[in-house]
Amino acid sequence: MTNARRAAHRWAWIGLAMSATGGISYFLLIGVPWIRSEALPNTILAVAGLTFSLIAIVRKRTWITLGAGTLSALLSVGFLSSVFVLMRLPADQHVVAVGRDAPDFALPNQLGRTIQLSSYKGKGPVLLVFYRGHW
Amino acid sequence: MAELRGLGDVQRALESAGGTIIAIAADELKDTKRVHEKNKLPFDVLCDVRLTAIAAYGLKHHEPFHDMDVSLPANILIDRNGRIVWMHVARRVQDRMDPNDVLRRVNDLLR
Repeated sequence: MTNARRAAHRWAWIGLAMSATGGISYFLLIGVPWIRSEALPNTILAVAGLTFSLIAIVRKRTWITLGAGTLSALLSVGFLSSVFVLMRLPADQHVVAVGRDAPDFALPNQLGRTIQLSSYKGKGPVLLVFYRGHW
Repeated sequence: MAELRGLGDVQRALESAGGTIIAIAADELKDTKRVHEKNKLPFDVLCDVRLTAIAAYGLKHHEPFHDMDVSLPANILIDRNGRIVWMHVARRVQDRMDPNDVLRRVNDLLR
């Protein structure tokens, strides 16, 4: 094997490893809030992995650079599109805004007892945490 | 519902000022109960199965994968006069406020 070929293969393997690490580590570290929300290190790894794979292919077109490059592209593009495109949510309906009065409501709590938001008025601040539920 | 864990410090800060955290989802009562027990939450979890509060705050979202109406994930901070002083609505499924950032917002309000 020539040196140029060996070097191209090295780029290819590193690229594949970076793409795989970027995607897989996101799901392993999903409990870390800033990773979950921003996915910054994972995005950098995915893009760098893709770049390394492309450099490998440009340097030498072999089965290894093309195969690892395809896999690397699938992993990186799959990861980036799922995090940035598929998971997008619509905007809220702009019913409430900062500075306006919070709409009152009365709903049952986990024990079935009714809780009314306005019962806290004049008493203390309230943080409403709306979550999706079901999973 | 991972966003409900890790809010212990926020709840303590609010409680010390006479307030509280209130969590809300479009779950059935039994799921609400399960979430509350499983996560040992120090605050109430409300069951908004008809999406009345969720709609009142403009957070209704039709979730296409399960074909059901759920809430957009959101944090809304209300002062003791009932006025909204801060809100954050997730723009992606995985967007969640860091509990430390939420605590900072609460402390800003209490200062």
